[in-house]
Amino acid sequence: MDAPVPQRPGMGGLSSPGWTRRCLGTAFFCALLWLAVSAPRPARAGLAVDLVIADIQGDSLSAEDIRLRLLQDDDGPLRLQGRIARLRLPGLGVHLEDLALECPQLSVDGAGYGCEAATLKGADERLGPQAIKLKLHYQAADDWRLDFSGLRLARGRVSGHFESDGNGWRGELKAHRLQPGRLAALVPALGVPAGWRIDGRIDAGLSLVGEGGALQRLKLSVMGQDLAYSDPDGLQAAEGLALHGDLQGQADAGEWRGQLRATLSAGQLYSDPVFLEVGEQAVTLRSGFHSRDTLGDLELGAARLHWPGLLEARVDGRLGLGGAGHRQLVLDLTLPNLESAYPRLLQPLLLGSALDDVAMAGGAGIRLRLDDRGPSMLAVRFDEVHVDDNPGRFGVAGLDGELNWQRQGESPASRLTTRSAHLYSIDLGATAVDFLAQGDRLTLSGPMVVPLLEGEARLQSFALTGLLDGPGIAWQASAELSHLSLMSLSQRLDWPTISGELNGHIPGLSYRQGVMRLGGELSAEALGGEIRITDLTLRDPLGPVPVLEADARLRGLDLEQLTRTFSFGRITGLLDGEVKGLQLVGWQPSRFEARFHSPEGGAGPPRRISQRAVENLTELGNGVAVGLSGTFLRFFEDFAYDRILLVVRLAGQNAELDGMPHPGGGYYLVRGRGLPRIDVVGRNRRVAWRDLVDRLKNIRFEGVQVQH
Amino acid sequence: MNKRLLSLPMMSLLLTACVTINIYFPAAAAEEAARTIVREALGAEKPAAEPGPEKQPPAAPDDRQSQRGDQRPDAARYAEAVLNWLVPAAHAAGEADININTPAISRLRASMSRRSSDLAPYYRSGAIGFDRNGLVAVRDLNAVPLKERGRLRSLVADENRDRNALYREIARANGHPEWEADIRKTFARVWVEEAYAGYWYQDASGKWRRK
Repeated sequence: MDAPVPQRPGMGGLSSPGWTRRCLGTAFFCALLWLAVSAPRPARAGLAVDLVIADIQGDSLSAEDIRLRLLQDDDGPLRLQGRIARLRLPGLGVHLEDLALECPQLSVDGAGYGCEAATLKGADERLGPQAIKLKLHYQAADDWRLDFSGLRLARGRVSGHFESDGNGWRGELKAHRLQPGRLAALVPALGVPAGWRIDGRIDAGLSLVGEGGALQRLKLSVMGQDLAYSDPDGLQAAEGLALHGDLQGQADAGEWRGQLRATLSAGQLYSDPVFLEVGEQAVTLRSGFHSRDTLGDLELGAARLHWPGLLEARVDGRLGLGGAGHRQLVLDLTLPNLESAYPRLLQPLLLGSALDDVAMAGGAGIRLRLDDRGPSMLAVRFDEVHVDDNPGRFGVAGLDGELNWQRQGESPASRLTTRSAHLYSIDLGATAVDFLAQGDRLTLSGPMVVPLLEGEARLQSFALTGLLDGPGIAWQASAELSHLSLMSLSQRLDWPTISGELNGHIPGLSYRQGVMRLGGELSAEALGGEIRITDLTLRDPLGPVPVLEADARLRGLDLEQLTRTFSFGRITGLLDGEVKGLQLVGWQPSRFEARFHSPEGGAGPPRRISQRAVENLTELGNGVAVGLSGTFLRFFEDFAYDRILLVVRLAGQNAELDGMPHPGGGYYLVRGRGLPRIDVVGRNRRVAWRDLVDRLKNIRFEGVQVQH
Repeated sequence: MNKRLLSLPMMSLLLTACVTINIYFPAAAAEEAARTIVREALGAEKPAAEPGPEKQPPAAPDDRQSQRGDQRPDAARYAEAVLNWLVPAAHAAGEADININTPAISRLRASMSRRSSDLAPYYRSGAIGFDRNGLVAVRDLNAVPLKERGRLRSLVADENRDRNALYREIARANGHPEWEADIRKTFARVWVEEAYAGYWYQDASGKWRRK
């Protein structure tokens, strides 16, 4: 009994092909109605026609054990009863068991056949038990009406009205309190991935207009309350959403066009790593759409998202959903108030970067073009932007201009200007920078001049690579520092005031894998001499523990200026020095080997050391003033010395001191000359660095004594 | 005679030429250092003991019953930490150990320690756990209210920034930047060993397990 057409025992009169074709559309009712109207009716006797079909098998429908009975008692209404043991409609996902149809009053007249109060009961394995009320009127295949109510779907109820006339067919569906999670499980076409949890309730209305087998227009209205969803990892989630959406679409030569409007009036959303909460003003989305064939061809027209106080977005182009390719999207994003957009939107996106703990103000606009390979164009407009690092490492004020980048081809020029900026406590003046950003690279178009410490830093060249995938950002630059004021620098860094100038020619400044290197040297004319810094590297400059390494050479520093600067007591003469392997970790010295000494020979001004300086050295020595003023030496204001040599080696927490060998043990820090002669001799070589720093602050020096 | 005269410099040359310098990673010292830092960074807060694998309710803030071998009161352990800080020389002068008392490391330790009470509830709820690289990884955000997820992300990013800097700095401060990977490996193991019952960690295959 597996024939593909219905078996019709006892129905030899049903032979018209046209009749059969029309009847297949409305299943079995037609067959029974035909029987009812064509069978000769006895004048007074009751009517009972039974139709039993063992099974029907087809691609879109299969049914087993079909029993239909048409009844009429004397003068009573014509009744229809039907039973189907199993009904399968694979295309609709319907798997019904024990389907029972009861039509207590079948009307049959010249205008067609109808049933005003039919009930359909059954149990679908996914929809559960059903008891649906039906109202049906049938006149012809293109002239009928169907109403139903009480369909249980996704824990809600669905009712509907469908009708057809000469101008096509129309349908209205109303859904009440659907549970969206259940709905997603029932309708795989909604595309909700497995493992997602969706809660809440939905009321919806759907209007459909079609002709024949084709849908021509649809209108969907959805109201969602207390909607919540979450993916298995909690990276995409929402709670308490109140959503109202309207969608209208119409078919046009096989293509769909329409409008979508959605309003989100309450709720919280988390799209890793961004959390957004709908405020007092609703979030609205409006969009036109156009689909040629599949969702992959879905094209948005002037989609506008308005999130009050946060952003305005406009999206145009083809979405390229479902991996279909052909993505071509332009996104225009306006962030009118960065002060509120930064904590809500930007800070989470910038986590792990140097910009994840800043205060921001101003406005910005972003235009982004996306294709199948990702971003193809980016333009960012800055409007009076202020950025201030909360830990105080850097800041920019009054940033204006435009940054343009293209993945391929020549990009429009970019220009940014700032009114002021600061790096740690050092202020940078107003600056303008012109550059080109395209593909993997960003290059400076012309020199960039930054007013700095009463002089200027001139960035001659700058080329950055690694904007796209690869080993990361790296850059190379060359720069000149001219006439930077050491006095300003020392004031900014809370150092004793040092006069002088810092100049530098830096032919090769580079940054790669978190390490900035300085090729060439920085030279400072300070304290009457010269300080040169070479081999400077800075690792992780804005990280929690920056590490700076450098070598330095000092030539011909005027000790008189130096000692005056540090209020140490006057020493005259010149001082040379070398600092090798200087390492600052978190801006604190952790390693170096320094050697400060008088120049070879007797060059420079007379070498003399004042009583005050000797006393200070004495205090450094043993913590007790030796009291030169109490001896005959008080009559001398200063003393001649032959040579100064101080060697300090720091390794971790311990420093080692050294000087010229002293015949009686220890070492000379200052070797006197002439009469009266004063030698400053150190006895203790090892000292804890922290103690040394503390003692220097208090002008104390362990293990040093004055001999006279 | 000539032969003997020649053989002496030759032998000394050979002897000096065959010097091999082996630097071994001081595993025991590194482990001790890691344990000190990890205990300090995990903080004293801990959940109630729970035998079964079922999810446990978060412990009340005052429920701080110690589960580790170290049963001393908090004050004693803090005193030891202060003492360690004050007399670093005692460490430095001892056997060839790992120095964890440089200013930079101390700053990182203090920063991690300050963060521990913020992270603890998320360790307990299973939202985050210890990964195989000595870092914190987000495991299940479903355990975190939506509003807190961004903050947790931020905490995790800050913690990992400190941890990465810490491993690099310990290796560097001890004169062997090339030890960073070994230090990290040691820490990765010790974080899991020292983690309180109920905390989550990734096993060698990357699968999440609960202590």
